[in-house]
Amino acid sequence: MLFNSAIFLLAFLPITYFVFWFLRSKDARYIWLAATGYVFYGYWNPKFCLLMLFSTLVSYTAGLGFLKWSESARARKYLLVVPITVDLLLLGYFKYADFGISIVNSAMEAAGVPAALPFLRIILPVGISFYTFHTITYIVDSYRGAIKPTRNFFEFACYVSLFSQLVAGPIVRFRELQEDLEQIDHKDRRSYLDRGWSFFAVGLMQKVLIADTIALVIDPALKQADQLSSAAAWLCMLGYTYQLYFDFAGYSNMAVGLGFLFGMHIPINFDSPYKALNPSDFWRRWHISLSRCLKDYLYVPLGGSRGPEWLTYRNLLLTMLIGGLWHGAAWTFVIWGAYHGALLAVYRRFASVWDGFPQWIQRAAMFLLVIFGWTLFRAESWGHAEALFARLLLPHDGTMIVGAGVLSVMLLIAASIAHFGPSSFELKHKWTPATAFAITALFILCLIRIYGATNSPFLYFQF
Amino acid sequence: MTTPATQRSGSSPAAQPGAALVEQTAPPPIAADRPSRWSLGRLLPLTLVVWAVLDVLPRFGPLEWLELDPVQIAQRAPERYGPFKANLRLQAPYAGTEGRLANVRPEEFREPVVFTTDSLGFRLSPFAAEEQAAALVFGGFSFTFGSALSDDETFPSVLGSMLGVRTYNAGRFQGDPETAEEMDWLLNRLGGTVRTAVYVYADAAPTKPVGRPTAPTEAESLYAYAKRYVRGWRMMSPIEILSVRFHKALTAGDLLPNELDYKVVPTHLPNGDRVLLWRNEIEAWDAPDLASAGGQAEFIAWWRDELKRRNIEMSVLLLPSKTEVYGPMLLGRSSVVKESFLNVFETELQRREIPVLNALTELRASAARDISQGTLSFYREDSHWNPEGVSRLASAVAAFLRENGWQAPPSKITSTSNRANAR
Repeated sequence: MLFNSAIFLLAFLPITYFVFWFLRSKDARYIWLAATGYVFYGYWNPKFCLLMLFSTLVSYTAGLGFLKWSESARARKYLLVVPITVDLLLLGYFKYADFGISIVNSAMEAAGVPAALPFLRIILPVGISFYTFHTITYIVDSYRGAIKPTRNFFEFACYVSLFSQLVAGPIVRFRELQEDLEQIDHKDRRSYLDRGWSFFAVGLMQKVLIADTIALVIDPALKQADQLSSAAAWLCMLGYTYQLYFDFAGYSNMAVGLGFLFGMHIPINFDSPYKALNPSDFWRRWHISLSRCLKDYLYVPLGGSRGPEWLTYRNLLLTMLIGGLWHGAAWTFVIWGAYHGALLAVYRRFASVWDGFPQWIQRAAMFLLVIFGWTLFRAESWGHAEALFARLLLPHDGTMIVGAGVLSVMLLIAASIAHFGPSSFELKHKWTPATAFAITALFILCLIRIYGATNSPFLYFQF
Repeated sequence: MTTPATQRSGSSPAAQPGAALVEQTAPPPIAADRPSRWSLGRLLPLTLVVWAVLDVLPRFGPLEWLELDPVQIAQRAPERYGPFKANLRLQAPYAGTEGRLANVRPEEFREPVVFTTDSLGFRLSPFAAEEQAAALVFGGFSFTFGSALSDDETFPSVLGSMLGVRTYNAGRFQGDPETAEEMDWLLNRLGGTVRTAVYVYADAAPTKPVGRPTAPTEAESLYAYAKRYVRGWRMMSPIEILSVRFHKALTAGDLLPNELDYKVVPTHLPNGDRVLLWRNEIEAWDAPDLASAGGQAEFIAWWRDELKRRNIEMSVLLLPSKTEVYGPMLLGRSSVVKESFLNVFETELQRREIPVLNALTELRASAARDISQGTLSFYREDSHWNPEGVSRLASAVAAFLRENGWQAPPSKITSTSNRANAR
């Protein structure tokens, strides 16, 4: 189910909302949110609800184990390693099995061995990367004593399956929602109504009016990348840069808004990332929930920046490699991750030089580097990436794209917002009546687009 | 309003790149607020409520003003055993489905189509009274009930006028189950006078059931009806239809690229007229499912046996798609020899001693002439047959039936008006 769909807006959300606030007890609200989360998830494919339930049970049981054997270091080690292994095995199987097979097959071909392993053609469960991270962070935080695991299964199930961030994040750690969950029966429905709807409307407009409009133009053009002129290629990649941001940030804002409607504080996930001055700054602003997880659960345990410089570079590179791999089972994602790892390492080495430039140059250079990274991200294959880079870096004649005029206007709007506008968390979300009506008019335009176009999934669903 | 987010601009030299993935300070607690009169907390939910009302209620009202394909309106609230709502008379401008669904500007026009249903919920055949039909045409989906054709242009109507008998149009909508239960209900209401049936197998339609079916239970039958009923209403939201039209107008290729034009492959006749071919028809033609021919023939044989038990002789008409007939020449692939599913299927039916007329054979023989003269048997921008093509086919079927020993019953045909007969 998508947030930008009629079934969600006109059926799922109203029913979930009104029943939630009608229920009074804590457990009833937990159960209701957990159940609606499964309905939300199962709308795509009911069978994979069992997978999420299994992951939930494993992590919940581990949490109980931490409570029971809090003094036994050995038991706690097992309770850390076993459930995380289970989660990673599930993630590995569903997401990376065929990638692994393709690597083995390529190696065999390179060695002159003709036999090839057959692909398993496994369906990737939507959102597995996200809810798996939720359960893993819960286990690690329980192990570290950062949280006290909950004995209430419904509370935990509610946390894992909360529909607002279930399939495309933000990656919300249990400790970030724990207080809201504990107070779930003391919430005032009207407290965050305006703010919730404001966040939701902002996110919906970002997704439907900006990201999807850009996609209408660039998607058919990028299918024929080898026929594009350089100008067209630049327009497409600029378009994709903004499309990805507004698609993902739009979803995150909708998730935040939905959280508010149910009394939950979903944390910020995007903080105007295209205003970043350097690679380090970029990763403090882009997909903040993921970068924090990578830092806390990978970078720091690897040693962070505590050891020699070369170790820090290694840790940065490894962390971002895995971050890239998390996004998808393809070499383009791995290289993209390595690219950003290298940027971080290089910036660390030459920060004093970089920081010496005027800020506008730093921003422009960083934005250019981000565009190159997204080119890898968007490419469907090496050949596709090569064709795009060739056109970005060298002059090429070719076709212009249909809809270049509309795209140019959208790019201007997107650029104004992304580079000069406030982030959604910097807005006060208190609108004058005139502005509220204008937003409502745009909301209606979103509804027309939702009804009129084939449903457009969120780009981060595929991760 | 500044937040830690805005203060954190990355310009501080103390920002260590090694700690690139920095712990974010939690945003300050947001003060709870109360919704004001014109706040989004009121306006947006209200908007959704109004939108929902505008979505649901008009579905039950008149829809002719939308100038929809009459078939769409007719399948709203279908009858229990009939594919359409009974006693409708609709008239709508012609709109070729291929062009419409691929969002390309139409280049083919004809006079508006008159679509009438009888009191049983089937397409009206002007030459057949409901109580006494000597022949019945079923299967074939939109070809049989006559998409893009007026009442007197449909295959059962024209066949009936050529044979001089009342021929009932039992064409059902695509996806409707074909069961003996429904056939019995219909035959009873036709007074038990049907002696001849023509089963139309349209190659462009979805694959038939394989093998001999078992009778559905009452619950299954009711469930199938409920699905049909809901389907009819689900597609009839004026606000959705208008939104789709708005979106299509924006994405017709001028302002924004046409995201639907991949559905068709445009070709041209020697006189320059455009002919649209469904891409999925081309793909099906490229990779026919020959292995299913036997199983599908069993299904047809089951129908033959069921009708024989009811003293009805059944013949089969195999209909090719526009792509199969004209595709080889229009796509420049005449030299590609390809085994047609219909030819394999014909063999399977003959092996089961089912009388079968394969229209592909005759149509391919005249395809070159049709193309050179610009007189195709199909609409140029619709996958369905045009009136001229239906006439040709009906002539061939009438001749085939006579060759196979068919004789007209004694009663004479009289033209009937569209009267609402009691069931």
